[in-house]
Amino acid sequence: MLIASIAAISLFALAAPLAHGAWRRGAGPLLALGVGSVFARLAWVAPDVTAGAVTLERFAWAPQLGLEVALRLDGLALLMSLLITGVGAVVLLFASASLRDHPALGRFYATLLAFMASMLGLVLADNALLAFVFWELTSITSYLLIGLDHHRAEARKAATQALLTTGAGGLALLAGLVTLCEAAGTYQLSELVTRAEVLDHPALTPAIALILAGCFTKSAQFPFWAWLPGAMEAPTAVSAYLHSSTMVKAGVYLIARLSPLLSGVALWDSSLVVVGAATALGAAFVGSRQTYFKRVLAYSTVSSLGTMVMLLGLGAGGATAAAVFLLAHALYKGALFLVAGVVDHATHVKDSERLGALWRSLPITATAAALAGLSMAGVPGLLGFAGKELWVKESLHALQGGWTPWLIGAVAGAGALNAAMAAQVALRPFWLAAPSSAGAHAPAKDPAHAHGPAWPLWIGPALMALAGLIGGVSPGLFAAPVALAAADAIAGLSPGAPGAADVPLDVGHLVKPGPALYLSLGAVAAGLAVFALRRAYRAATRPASALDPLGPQSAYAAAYSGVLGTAQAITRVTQNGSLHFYLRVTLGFVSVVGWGTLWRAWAGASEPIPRTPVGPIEAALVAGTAVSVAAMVLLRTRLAVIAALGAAGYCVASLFAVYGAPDLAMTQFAVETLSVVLLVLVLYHLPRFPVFRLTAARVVDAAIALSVGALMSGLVLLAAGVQLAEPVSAYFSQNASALANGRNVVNVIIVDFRALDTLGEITVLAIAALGVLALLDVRAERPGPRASAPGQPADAHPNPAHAPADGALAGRAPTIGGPA
Amino acid sequence: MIEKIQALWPEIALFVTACVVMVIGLSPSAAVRRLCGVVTGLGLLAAGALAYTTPAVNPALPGLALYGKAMVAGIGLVLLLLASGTVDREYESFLARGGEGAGGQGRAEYEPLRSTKGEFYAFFLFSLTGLMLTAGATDLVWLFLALELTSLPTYVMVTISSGRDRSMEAGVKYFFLGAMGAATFLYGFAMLYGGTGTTSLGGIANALAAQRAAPGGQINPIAMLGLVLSVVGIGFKIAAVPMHFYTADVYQGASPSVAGFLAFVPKAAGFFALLSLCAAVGWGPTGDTLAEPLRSVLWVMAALTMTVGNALAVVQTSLRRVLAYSSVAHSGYMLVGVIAGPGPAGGGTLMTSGVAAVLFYLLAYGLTNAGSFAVLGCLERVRPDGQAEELDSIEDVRGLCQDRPLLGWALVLSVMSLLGLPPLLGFFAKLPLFGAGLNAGEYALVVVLALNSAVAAFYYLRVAAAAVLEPGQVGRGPVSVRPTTARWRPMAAFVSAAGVVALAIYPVTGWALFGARQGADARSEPAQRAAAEPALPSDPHAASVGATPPAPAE
Repeated sequence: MLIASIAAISLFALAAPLAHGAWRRGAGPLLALGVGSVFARLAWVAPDVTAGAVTLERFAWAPQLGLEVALRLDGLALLMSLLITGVGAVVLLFASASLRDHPALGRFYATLLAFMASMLGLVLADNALLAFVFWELTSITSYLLIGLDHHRAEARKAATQALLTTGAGGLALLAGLVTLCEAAGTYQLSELVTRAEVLDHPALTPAIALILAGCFTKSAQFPFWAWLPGAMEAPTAVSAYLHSSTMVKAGVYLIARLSPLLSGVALWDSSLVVVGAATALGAAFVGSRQTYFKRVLAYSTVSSLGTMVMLLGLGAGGATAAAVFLLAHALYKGALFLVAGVVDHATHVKDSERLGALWRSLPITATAAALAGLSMAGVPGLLGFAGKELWVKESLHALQGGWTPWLIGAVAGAGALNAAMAAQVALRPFWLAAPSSAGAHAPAKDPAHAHGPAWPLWIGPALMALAGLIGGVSPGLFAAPVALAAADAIAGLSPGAPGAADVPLDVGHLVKPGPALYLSLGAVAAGLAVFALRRAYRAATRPASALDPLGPQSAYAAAYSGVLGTAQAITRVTQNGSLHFYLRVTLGFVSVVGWGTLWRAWAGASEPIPRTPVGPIEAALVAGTAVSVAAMVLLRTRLAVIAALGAAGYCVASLFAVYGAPDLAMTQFAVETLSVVLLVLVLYHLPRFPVFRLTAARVVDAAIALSVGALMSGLVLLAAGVQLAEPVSAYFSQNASALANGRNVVNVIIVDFRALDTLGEITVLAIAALGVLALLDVRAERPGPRASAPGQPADAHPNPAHAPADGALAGRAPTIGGPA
Repeated sequence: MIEKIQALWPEIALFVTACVVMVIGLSPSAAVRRLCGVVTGLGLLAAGALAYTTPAVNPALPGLALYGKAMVAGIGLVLLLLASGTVDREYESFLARGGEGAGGQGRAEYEPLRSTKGEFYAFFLFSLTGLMLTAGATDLVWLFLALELTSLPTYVMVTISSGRDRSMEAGVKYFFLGAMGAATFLYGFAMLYGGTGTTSLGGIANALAAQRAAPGGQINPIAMLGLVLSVVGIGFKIAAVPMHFYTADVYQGASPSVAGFLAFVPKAAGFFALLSLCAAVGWGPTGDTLAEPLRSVLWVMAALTMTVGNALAVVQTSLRRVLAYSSVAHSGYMLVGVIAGPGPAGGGTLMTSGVAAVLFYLLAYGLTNAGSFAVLGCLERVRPDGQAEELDSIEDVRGLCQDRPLLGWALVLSVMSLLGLPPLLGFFAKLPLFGAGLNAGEYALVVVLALNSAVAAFYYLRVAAAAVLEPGQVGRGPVSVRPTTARWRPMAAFVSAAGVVALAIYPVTGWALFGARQGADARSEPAQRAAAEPALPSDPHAASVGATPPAPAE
């Protein structure tokens, strides 16, 4: 059934563009109906699940990695999947009307349904890696949804910010999950949360930090919340669905999922409470100063997410409160977003201060807004009240547990400001008089909308607001069982077990005189006061905007430009296009690594370096080699350099002769001569060496060259001390006459012992000679330097010193067999 | 002798094919010359089939040869699709441009590029032969020759791949730096011989183990220096920082098909060599750490390679330079697996074996990378003066998904997989690297890996966003990007995109991962097990990596 649900929605996603092409108007309701049937299927089994039945389905995927398609339906998954499919069906219906004329509606349906399938997969997944796969899929589909209107630059920017933030968080999450699961030895989440021995594992702390980083970015906690208000660039249907009811709750969901294991770990609990409380208060403060519908709702969503995170850090009681709050929030915030969409659709005004008295033209929407707003403010009789009441109660409870009183301040402040925001979006535009200022909009005069919006637009907010009302008035009908089953799952208990949550949610039980009630009613009153005095409040808090440069959006911008800046700096320094620079770095690295290894390896050890007596001839030859090499470096004409190179080679060859290797010496003489001739032929036409570099640069070059040279010389000396085997020369001199009947040992070696070598050498030389002949031939055909040498290579070289050399190479190359 | 030949059947097949192709390429008839590509493909297929006869030759990593050769044959086929027509097409566009840089005279009679067609395929095959030989190397001399056989043809391929001066410059740069890299590791090999007294990898492993077991417990300094120099020199093949400098210039200078070849073949050779060397050193008696200072050198190279590669890729506007620098970064990721080693003795899941992770990553990277370069190679830009030039800038792929949906989505799938987004192939490749790094206790390195993966999102998403989100260009003014005439190249893009998806689906993922695991396994007899199983005919890539169903013991 679970896999079938995901598969069904994926199938809808695939079919959506076709359906849209075939039926146009009818496609949206049809798809909504399909999603609704999945919702109904899940609701059908809900009584069993709330009674404690757990459905488990497993299919193989990549068992070598511990990845399998394991799906599990328990109380928490049930709550989330009902929200995903229920709100999803309503949102699809809404979108079919609100985006009726959007050019990419078919693509929108497909992406939204793909998102829905991923989200459903995420909450049903019982395998950590599978959950991660779906987690990333929700990021990608959300990216596409935010960027739906991709002709707008802000939409593209917001989409990128959302994806970068949640994507980076996702990677952290992956690392954290792998660490945790490897420590526990299982990737099955339901199994993992029972492995209490992990709590002593040294990798626990980094794992927690990484997992929380992932969850906090996804659920827009401080300081990562900046992407969520930006994501409101998406169509309202997307905001209502992804950015209030479902996707942003993924982080909260995962925290809840891991709670049975990690709740009680000091780092986990305190991070959740501190970050959650800071987010709840901070976002509520920022949001209470906004007037644009969606911005107010966005920040209040962030604030509510903070509340849930904070509650999850408060133990089992907090879990119950979090579950109830999650359900209540999804219902009222989804409704309010859709209401904002209806208002936008009807009036094309996005600023709630510029609207008023909309109840006349939008009566049903206004009623839904009122119900949702009351629920959000936490007025008794609505589900939101239960959520808020439990929240306050748990915070007071935590105070006894040793938490700082600041926590209560944050809770009260966030509650009051949320009530103010509720009034701003649900009260101001609908029930207060229209502002008299010039920008006021009077929708009733607009004949196109005189009859109110189409039914698919208002049915969604109405249904969700109604659900909030029913949940508040008669919680036993659906709200309490579902939320409490979820709370049990968060606490790691099965429903009905001792200690399982059985908090009564009906008003009669909750409205009991006590500090909690006073505090929460006081918060509502304070919120209304803030709303009434909102102009003075906004003016008074204006100095707080001086903190914006320290805020999350600036942090994101700083991180973004920091990465780019660092990258540019690295590029400028390392990638300047000069072969000379590349060689310098590479050789420098070889030298550092070589010397480092030598120094490290020889710390303590000492092996004698063999010494052999040096005669005057040898000394002279070595000196000659050194002088030639020095001359080669210092000389300025190519011919002279080639001559010096040849001289160095001749000195080395003579050294061979002195040490009794005439064959080697002869070969060397021949090779040297040939090289000089070839080099002269090839390099004859190149220009003189200009002096490109400053003295300082030449000093650096010399230092690197000497260092590498010294390293290599040192290695040769060391290697000379290694005697691995009997020298083969003894064998040769003993067997030369016995086996080969020759008295000249060198001759015997060349033509007998190493006959195959000799044959190979001869072949190579012959081929080389043929090549030389061909070169000379080509030159003979084209006498004189060519008139039209190609210009600079296309690559622009910032280093002027480099370009001529490359140009020359590229220019010469065609004569040697290129496409001339 | 006969055993050695038995281990070499695939290489022999490739070598013979190369010789045949060279001869065919000399034919005066264009119809016969056109057979070069087909014959090359047949040779690769034969080599792939013969790869299953490969016995375990290297005692330290017995599975490497079989896995490596099978993988090379499979990916070689994709690269062949990508490379087909390179020289001909480039020549045509060269003619169409009026032969800039050559004066435009006298070229009608002298057609060197025409004549290089057969050679191009021969070089292609020689290089793959070298790569296969590297996978089966048991001796330092063999390893050196194999590495150079892999590289030398590529220097020429870069130079002849396009008629532009730029590819000449690229070839020259590549050759100079490559020669220096080769010299460095040759020097290292020599020192290694000096420190151990043998060139056989098995012998070296024994000698080093004996040195470590002796009182004092140190690897001979000469041998250690040889190891370090070898690793640094091989760093050139895998484009590790600071030996990476050539990549961008060369990938941009060569035609996309050859750049795609370069991004995989020398890199794979380098990693085969690195793994063989590190296996000879051993990851310590408990299988956890390499000997110092080898580990430190690799560690620094890995961290630098990931970071610098990504940082350089972020700021590029040229798509080919982005792919070039990201290929540097991918080498850095794989180095994490090399450092992590094969995991604790006794195995466990694939998540503990860095060696298996590297082998699987190579497969994933090779396949995906070929796809992204293939999309580039399938398109060309029309300059305002009406002449065509190669696609280069990210701007050029704007709206590709709208204009040419198949190519566009193939590109998007490729870059998303290179980024490692689930559920594409790249994710399954990156995940074991994470796991192996963590299990080896390399937490700092894994953090660097994760941060860099996040940075990689910057540029891969830019490419994907340009293709998906930007509006299409068809029907808006003059068309500036059009498909090229290369007929087989789109196939490379589609095969790669299909592979990126197919290899991520059960049960193909399992087979591929199992193949990589076997390739890394030091204890089993993969050749016998794999030989008992029939190859999958439908999917050459799945078949190429050991089409063996997961054993229950895994």
